[in-house]
Amino acid sequence: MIRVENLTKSYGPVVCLSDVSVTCEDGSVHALTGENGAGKSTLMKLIGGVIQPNSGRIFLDDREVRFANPREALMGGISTVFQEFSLIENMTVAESVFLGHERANRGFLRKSEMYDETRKVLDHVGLDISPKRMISTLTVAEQQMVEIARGVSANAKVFIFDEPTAALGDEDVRKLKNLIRELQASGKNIFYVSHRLEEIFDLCDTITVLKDGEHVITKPAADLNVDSLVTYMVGREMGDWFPAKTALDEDLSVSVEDLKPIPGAPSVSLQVRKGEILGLAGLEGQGQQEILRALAGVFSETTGSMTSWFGGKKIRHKLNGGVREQVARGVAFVPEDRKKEGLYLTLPIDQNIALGQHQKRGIMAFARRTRDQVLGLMGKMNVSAFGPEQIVETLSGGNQQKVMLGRWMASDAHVFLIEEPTRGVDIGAKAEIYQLLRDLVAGGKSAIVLSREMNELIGLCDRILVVRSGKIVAEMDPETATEHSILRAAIAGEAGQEMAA
Amino acid sequence: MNFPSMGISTTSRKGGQNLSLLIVLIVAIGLSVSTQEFLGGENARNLIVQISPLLLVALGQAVVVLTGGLDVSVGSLIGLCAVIITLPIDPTPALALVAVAAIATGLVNGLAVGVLGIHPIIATLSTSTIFTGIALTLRPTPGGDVPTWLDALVGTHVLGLPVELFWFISAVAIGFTLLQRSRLGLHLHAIGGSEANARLAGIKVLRVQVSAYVICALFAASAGLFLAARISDGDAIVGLPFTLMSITAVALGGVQFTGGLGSTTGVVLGCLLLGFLSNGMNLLNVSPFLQSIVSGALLLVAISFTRRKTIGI
Repeated sequence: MIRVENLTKSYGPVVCLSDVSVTCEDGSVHALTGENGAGKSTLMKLIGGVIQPNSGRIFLDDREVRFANPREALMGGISTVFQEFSLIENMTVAESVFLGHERANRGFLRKSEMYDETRKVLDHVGLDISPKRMISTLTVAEQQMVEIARGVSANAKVFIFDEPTAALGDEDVRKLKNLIRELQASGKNIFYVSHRLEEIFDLCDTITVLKDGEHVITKPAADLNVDSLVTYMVGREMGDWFPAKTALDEDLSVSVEDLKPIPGAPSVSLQVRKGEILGLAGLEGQGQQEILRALAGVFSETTGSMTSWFGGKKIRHKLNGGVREQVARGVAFVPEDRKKEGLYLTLPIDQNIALGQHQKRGIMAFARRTRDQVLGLMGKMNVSAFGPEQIVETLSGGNQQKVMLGRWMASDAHVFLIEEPTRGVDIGAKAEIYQLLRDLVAGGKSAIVLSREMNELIGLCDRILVVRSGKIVAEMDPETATEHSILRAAIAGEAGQEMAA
Repeated sequence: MNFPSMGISTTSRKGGQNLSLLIVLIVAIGLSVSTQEFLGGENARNLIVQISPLLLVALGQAVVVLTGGLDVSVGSLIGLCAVIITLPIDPTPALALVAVAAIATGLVNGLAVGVLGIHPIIATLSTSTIFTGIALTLRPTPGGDVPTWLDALVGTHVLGLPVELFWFISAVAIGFTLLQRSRLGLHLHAIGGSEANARLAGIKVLRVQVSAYVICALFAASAGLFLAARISDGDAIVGLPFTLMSITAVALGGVQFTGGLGSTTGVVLGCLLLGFLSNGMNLLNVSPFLQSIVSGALLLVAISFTRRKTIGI
């Protein structure tokens, strides 16, 4: 039996997990679920020794344990199959199984012994490969099996699976489920992190729901159904910090036909009207980001057509010509990770904003004096800084995002593609950013916004498209949509359309 | 692990050693055809003598490269060790001093890279300058006497074979045991493959990194002793060309500069290739200046075959 008591984990002011207690009995498969960012992975990383809690305790068979790293946790009986694999590509299967606790005599490896034992463990988990194969030659499913073999080899008591089926095909999912049932039959404690509800009900006997880092409920799976579970996952009042929506123009701003972000992806068509903010919703990794980025010109093999209208002109776009081509045609792209992909952190505010104007100009053109304009924008956007010369890196998350948006306000873009507009931004700044986005699309412009936060999309957008497996499976009116109905459509695919009403 | 067509296998972590083997064979055949002396026993002996010190340095260099690092201080350390062993003091303390210098170098390099996070090239370039400075202060011009025990280890014959051959074989055996048979070797490869995941597996990354630089320094120090014995005096700058040569040999041997992929066999092949080329160019009377151009070009070609962008060289 594994029991965690009052676990809390925070990074500075951001609380990822707050005072959570969970118990997993022997021979139980315990589901952990919740929306994106609910704290599921954080909780598992705490148990698996990847990170350490600020407070709270972990008991394994009533003995308190503390782990400094995953290897210690594994030796102490807790095996984690990570969402991002922790195997090393240039190791063999046997080396991966034993890495960190190799069989050796005075530093010299006992290779044949490790090969033999690995072969036994691989047999046990039903993986028919040579222990001498390199990890780089294995499929994702095989790598996952190797991770499990590592836990079996260390005779772990607790197995943690963090979204294990995300990268697997049907056949491999079936194999994995069988393996999990075998582990269960041998009395192991199994945590199963997932937001795929059908899998949870198929495999798990107990379900714990987390929400915003807090424990919501723990109940036997038999006492729950899909509907009641989704209600527990959503269960929160929507904030009313969103700006009023304005009446939409009848004219189209953007029309996209037969878009295939990458070869082999399903084709997608969509329209955005002038003054409209269109939201893209969906569970993580369902292809909504690819759609947005394809429109930004990020992928070189995108096919399909995009047309936009602005200032009485019709503009035909080139989707496989790179981001520069799209910028030249008035498309602004605000990436999710502004630190890595968007801002020049070491440059001051004014130069970051001025870049928006210069992006369309030749390399030999003189940079115009922009200080007055930047000061005006900063005032309008309410950027808290001591002046345009302040280095962007030293600003708060909300102010960085404002600078990012300010860059595009200063440019003459008319289509805005925005990922996670309020990621890492506190509530107060969120409201200001929502207002900024509304201002941005005034005057015949439009925006497509991607967000993991369903209630953000409901509050901000004029229309919401739900994406699953690269396809648009539902179109929703935020007036009537709820977090519940969006989540339902995002999970249940085509069937979700009937929920839209 | 992206270039199977370039001989860099994806099914083992030996790096590009098969491609190196092919090139070595081609060069050897070419030289046997174009010169009469190449295949002679005398020339083979010369070759062994010539490449033994390079092999020592390159094996050490490979240990560091496998972790994803680089050590450009090996050349200076060779000079410093050659100077120390020829100091007018008792042979035993002199030898101890050489060992201390090597271990200290490795520690400083390893800690600078592992703890301070300095780029390996910059870290080892700094220590390199320091050692050359110390060596030149101790002995501004070449001179001094090599201890007699060391003299006996170079230029003589044992069982009718040149003693250098035994240096050569021991170095390969040590390299092979370390990289292919020891736990430390496995950890070196693991860190080169992914430092973060190695840490997740409980490997003490810093300790392994520092060990790599210490081992590299010890190899370089033994090359210093070898060179001092061969030229019979202490020369502070005798080792400097070995820095670039060792890097070239490692690259020619198919060891990947991103770390994690490479083999002892590859390093031996890389050294042989460099030896063949310089030997062949001598036999063909190519000017030494042209030889320098060829070595530089070789390094460029060899390096361009490795996935290097991620570590910034």
